Amino acid sequence: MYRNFQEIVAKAKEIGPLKVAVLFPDDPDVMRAARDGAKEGLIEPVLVGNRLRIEAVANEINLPLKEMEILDQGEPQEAADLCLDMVKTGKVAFVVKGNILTTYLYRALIRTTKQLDPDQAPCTLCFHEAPGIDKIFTITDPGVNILPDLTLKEKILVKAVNVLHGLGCARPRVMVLAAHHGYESDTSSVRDAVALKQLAGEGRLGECEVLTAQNLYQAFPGRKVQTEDFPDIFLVPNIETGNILVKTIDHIVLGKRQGMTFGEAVVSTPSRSDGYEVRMTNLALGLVLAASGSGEMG
Amino acid sequence: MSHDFKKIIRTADQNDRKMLVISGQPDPVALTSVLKARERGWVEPLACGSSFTGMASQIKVLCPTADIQEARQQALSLAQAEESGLLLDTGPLDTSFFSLIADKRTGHNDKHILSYVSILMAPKDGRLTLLTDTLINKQPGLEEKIAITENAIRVAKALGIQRPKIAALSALELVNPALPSTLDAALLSKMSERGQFGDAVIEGPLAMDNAESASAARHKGIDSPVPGDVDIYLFPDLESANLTAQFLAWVGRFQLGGILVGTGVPIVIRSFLETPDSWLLNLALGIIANKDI
Repeated sequence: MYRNFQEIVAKAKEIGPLKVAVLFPDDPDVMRAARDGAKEGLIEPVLVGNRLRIEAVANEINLPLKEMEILDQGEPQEAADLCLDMVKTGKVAFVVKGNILTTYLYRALIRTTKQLDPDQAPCTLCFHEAPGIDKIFTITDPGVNILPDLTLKEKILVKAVNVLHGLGCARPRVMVLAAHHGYESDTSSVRDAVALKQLAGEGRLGECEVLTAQNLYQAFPGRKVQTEDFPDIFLVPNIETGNILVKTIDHIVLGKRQGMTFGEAVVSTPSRSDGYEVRMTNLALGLVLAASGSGEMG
Repeated sequence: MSHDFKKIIRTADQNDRKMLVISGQPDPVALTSVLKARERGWVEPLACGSSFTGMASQIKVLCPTADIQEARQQALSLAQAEESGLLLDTGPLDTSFFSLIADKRTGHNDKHILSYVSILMAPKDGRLTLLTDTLINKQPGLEEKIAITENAIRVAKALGIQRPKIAALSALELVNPALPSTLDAALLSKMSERGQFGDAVIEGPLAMDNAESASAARHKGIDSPVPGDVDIYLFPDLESANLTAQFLAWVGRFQLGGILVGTGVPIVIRSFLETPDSWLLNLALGIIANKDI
């Protein structure tokens, strides 16, 4: 497993450049990342959005657009669908979200995935760096699925395990998170954790280890958190837990976060408030994931 | 211990001595903290249950029953009978403990629902930040959330936060019928706008990034004094609150304090979210909040 995002960026430079759709790049940070991603040989951007707005922002940051391909589509859903079509036909390797509501991309991704492989459940994985933990770990699903039942959790884990394999983590450690009450243990997330461990034993999730511990307290009662024992994948019980947790890690714990959504495509889904640096790392991660075939599993 | 936590200890120093009744299984770290609290003039301790007879030379032991539940019941009655009594329970924090203190018939909890407030020092600006409900209510509905919010506001005010700013968290900042926690957050926000929480401001729904950062909130068009200046994080459910608190403690390595609210009589405990050396901090919180909880 990669130890940090720096290693990912280094790997991306070996792979690149790949053709990438940048959806609604009419934001200075998004445009700068697209420009510098191209300059550093990571991506060949295809800019998708309203041409006038794209040109205005490019002008703002003194970017000559001559060598960049622009697809003029200002209607958000149409533009998102167009990006996914380009992944489908192999024109681009992955999609980068710019200045647009994530919902449009989710909708396009869900639709495409349903067409190509209805058994797959699109889901978001956040990749994290945190102080004191010497590897990248992931949390899923903070973005797409609101309250997954056991069947959906199984599909999310199949996807997550597959993505981690692509990143060189041969046997990801999976923690199915459930709150620790100390006085009550019969909750649906606890029951699902037991069931998922069983499914992992039957080989239904791909090569991985589902841990018995369902939270950090149970895994590290002495509070000595060690990298080698730390989970690679945390599966959260609901979208609120996932979303709050991933943002707590970068905003309060002061670690780093990169959001990626997977289905029949890799879609990079940074927060709209993410700045330039996060977006550059995001391009690199998207590249490494796309090259590892994360969006193409059956 | 951090600066603001020291301030809590110093505030406790200024209070009059209170009677502290101890129940539960003897816990050496807890008892050392109790003795420290006695030295500082916070409490006059006594213990309930025969399991404490070993320390009778240090702490007066009453009601020498071997039944922990019976001892707890008696300890609670003793603390309640006293004008300024406190209970300190050294665990285990099991179902029987919680059902005892949540029992409405005994009058320990006739007004409020029980909830737990975790207290954290925010790393950016070092201010006290409250997180709730990190331990008790699994799937609170709007009515429970109102009580949980009121409980947390009382703790904030006891800690000297005049006009607490509260972020009602969810997964996104838009109201979405598919995500019921956004509806609860919006309603709480509206209630606060109409003054239903007194001198406190609730903003919601907020995602964690726009609660934490004023610029992220502006980016999303949220015009409110709460983002970037949060005193209380109100979580949508126990999974999110409890697991986030665990990440803060285990990965962020922050020391947490904690206080049980809605009990009628102050009850000091140490949940698994706090390290053993947090007993004194939790005791200080119980002393300061005293009547208000």
